[in-house]
Amino acid sequence: MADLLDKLPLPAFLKPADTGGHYGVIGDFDTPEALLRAIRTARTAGYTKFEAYTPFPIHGIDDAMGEPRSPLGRIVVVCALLGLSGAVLLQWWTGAVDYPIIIAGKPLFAIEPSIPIIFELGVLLSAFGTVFGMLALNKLPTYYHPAFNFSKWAGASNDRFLLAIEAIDPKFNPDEIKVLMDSLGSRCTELVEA
Amino acid sequence: MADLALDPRAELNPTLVQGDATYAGVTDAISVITESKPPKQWYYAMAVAIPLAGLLFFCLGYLVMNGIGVWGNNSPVGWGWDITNFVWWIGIGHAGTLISAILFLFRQKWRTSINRAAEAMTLFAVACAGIYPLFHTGRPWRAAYWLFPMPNELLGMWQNFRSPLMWDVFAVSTYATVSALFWYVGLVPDLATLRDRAKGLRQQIFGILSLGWRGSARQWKHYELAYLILAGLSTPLVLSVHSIVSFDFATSVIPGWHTTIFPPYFVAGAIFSGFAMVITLMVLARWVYNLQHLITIKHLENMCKVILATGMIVGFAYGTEFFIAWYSANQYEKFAFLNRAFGPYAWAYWSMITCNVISPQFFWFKKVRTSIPAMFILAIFINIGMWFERFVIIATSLHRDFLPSSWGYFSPTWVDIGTFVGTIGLFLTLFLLFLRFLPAIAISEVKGVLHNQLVSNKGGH
Amino acid sequence: MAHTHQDSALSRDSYILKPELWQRVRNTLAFAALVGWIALGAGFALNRDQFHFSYLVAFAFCISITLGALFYVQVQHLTGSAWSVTVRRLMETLMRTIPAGLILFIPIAFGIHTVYEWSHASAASDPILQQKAAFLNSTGFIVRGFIVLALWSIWAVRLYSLSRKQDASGSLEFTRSSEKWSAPGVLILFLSASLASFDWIMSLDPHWWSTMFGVYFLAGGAVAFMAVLIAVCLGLRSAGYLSDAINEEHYHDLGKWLFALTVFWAYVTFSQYMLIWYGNLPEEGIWYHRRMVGSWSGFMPLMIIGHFIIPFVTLMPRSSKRNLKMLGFFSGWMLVMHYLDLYWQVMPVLHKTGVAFHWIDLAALVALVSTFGLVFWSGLRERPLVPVGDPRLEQCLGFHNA
Repeated sequence: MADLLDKLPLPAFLKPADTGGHYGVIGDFDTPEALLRAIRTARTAGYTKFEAYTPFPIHGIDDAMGEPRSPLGRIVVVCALLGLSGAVLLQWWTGAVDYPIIIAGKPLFAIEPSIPIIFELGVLLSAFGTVFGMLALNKLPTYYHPAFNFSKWAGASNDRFLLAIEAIDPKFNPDEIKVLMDSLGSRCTELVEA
Repeated sequence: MADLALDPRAELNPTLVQGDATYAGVTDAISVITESKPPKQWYYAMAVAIPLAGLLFFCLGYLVMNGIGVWGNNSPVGWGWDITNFVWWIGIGHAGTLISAILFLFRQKWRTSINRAAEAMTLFAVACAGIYPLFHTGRPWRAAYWLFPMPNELLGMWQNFRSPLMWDVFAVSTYATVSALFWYVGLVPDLATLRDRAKGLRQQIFGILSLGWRGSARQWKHYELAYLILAGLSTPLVLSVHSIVSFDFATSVIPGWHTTIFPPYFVAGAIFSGFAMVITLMVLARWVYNLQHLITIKHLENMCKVILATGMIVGFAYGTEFFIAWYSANQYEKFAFLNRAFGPYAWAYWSMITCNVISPQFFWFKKVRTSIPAMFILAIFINIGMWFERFVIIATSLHRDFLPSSWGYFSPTWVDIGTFVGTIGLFLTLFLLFLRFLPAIAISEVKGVLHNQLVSNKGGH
Repeated sequence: MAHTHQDSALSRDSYILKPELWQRVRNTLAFAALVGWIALGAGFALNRDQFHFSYLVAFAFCISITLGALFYVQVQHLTGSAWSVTVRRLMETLMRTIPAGLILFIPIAFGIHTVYEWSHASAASDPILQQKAAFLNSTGFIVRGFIVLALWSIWAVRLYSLSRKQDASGSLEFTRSSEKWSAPGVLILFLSASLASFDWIMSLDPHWWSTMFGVYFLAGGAVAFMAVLIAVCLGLRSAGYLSDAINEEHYHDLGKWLFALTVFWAYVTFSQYMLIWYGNLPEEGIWYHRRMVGSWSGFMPLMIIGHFIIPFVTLMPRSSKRNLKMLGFFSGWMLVMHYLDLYWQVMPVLHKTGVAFHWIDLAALVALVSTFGLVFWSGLRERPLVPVGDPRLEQCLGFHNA
């Protein structure tokens, strides 16, 4: 089975990377609280390029990491405006310009009967903006990521709380980081290949 | 607070995940369903559902071959079971959105273990609903040209956007799309969990479906905001969809249809029937998969309360309509309502009142709210009652036309009945497949609730 | 669920108003009431028609706000809300002013013949009004008015006293019995408030009807109630009270409610209008037609823009719901809009050709608002500003928006 898989042109997240570089050091913590403490300590120690992997969103982790708020809201507003104005144009142009025909004595274009479709298209485009905007901000789909190479990776979507300090960090020194993570309660600290 | 039972607050904030739950335990309990052979009960349920779904396809095929004359619709009742079923299914779908979006905004944590299944229910219900207007066109393969503004040679003209039926097309298709997106976004982290547990081809499949989700803090940040925005969009959307469905009737000048309270009254009715269906399905899911520790009696009791509340609103709307029909001093209005209650469809009207107004009253009693058989039976009654509500509104308002020479009486044909029973079969089939192959409970959300629970237990108040 | 925070360090607030502050505000309100009622008395003597109409608008304005409070308190109990605990006592105190309506209703009862066309002698020759006479008659109007006000008063007093008793004992049994009272209470509120709105406002145009009207009245009242609640919280905050107990997180939620209720109001208003527009039946369209004569025609755009679009767009971003100045501004704004909304529903019956603001409008508003204000304020004297015995209080103090 494994041989067969190697031959198939499948997404590469299973395959070990063949480049020589490193992604960073990943530590494996028991609880969200331990993870938060580790993040705060790492930040105080001067690390800047780190990432946490958790099975569910942890309250307060953005503050601990010093993350700014997501810009998704602005993307959605733009999409909503596109949807609203598009719906006005659609109904006005098709009904009053391109094929004007009086039905049931109603005006060719009026705001009252146009509201429902204006609303629906506004919501539809906002929803597209939300979902595709979120995927774009998260760079998804991405089928290969070096963090998958961590030997205890499966825990990140189950019951483990991982902290990665990445190799691009200017202070990156695997040995120092390993000592730091172990002292903070990491059960398994590894230098992970890219 | 070692012993939860000793703290009065424990009653205010009941444990939503029962037993000695751990994160890994939650993952296992939910994932294992998708990873192992289903229990016997699943096959029993499928054995009922699949033949019924087959009946649907047979009836639809028969309809396409022969034209919509095989349904009972005829002048003056031009809308019969098709629209009744359409509104009934759309309404059922609304409870799913309510649970996933509105209860999320209201921070009702008890929604977590039922929201995924409820959202799936929404999707399948909307799919069933869509069948009726699509096949009512008689030529569903051409429907796209009639329904969506696509430039084409076939018609050479545009849709009438001033018609509420067009609003309905936009509302229902937006609703279906947004519900599907919401559901899928919710699934992504759980699909990643399944991916990380799986081997081989299964891992490849879930790997592709989960889009490479890693659960990094930055991903969660965008994800959580996206989820919140989708909930914020779905909430007015769900109100709008059933309001627009009600506009199909209320924009006309037909007595019994043309009344201003229709939009909120339809929305309340939709939630009412939808929650009844959620209870029906959750009792079924608990029975098939032994999920008693995740879908607790507390969840079911809360849903009974929502049913009671929305049932009262529906009863309130019936009363207001009747009162205003008298108050309007308009002879057509008065006749429409008296005819509803005492005319040829009185049997349907009083079935509706019994099922929708009287049966939820039993939920005032905690004993009933916490008894599975009782709530199951009442939920079925409410599903029937809400079907009758739509039938009563549609058939009784149409069957007495303005000219007595055009009066009539609607009777369904075997194709009407077969199509309706068939959509129930399709719905159950899809739901059972969902239970079998996808995580039926939102794993990451339950863990979030469990985390709060663990922290507050340890907090030592 | 997560009362993860430390117990008492959460709030350093004093929950009892200082007597001097209390007296100062009381005196201001009493002065306003005195001036208002004297002016109103003069108005009664000078222009009875205007007096009764102005009084009706001001009464509907105040009572709709207290009904909003009654509705909200009950909903908090039914949903077991934790976020709202620290503002609930203020809601309850607002709700507790309803019994004042029993007395303040009397001028309306006396104004029936001035205000309502169905009570005129000409109604006897109107075949439509003849059919409605079983409902639209003076005795029925007065009896129903007192019955609905009495029902609301019973619930208001009962729920308030349960909450006060809990202050002392902290016993869970009061939470439970509040829940028990709230379930039928909401139902009775819906029924009685729509009946009241039919009587007091809809029957001003006695031929006209709309099944939505009760919901329309309650939706407007709920928006205005939320605005008052925010204004009261901010007022206490500026006097140095409750700045921990009602922090940015709670204001964020109040702002969300103000936003959501504005949208709900727009939804109800639009649905009612659009269905009547679309049906285009003369007996229904007359209501809007009457309200678009002359300068009244400016009111509909004003409502769409001022009661919906401006607050909708401005309150949508998270940052503005957390901006206390912005919230304060919009609480005042929405109150003005709610008053104008009611004004537009009532006044075209008197001033048939166009808007004619009158000083008695202002006098009635000042008199009634300050009277309800006095009742409200007396409820805050030497009593805790938050339900200190509520078992969810601690959870609320540590509450954080997701």
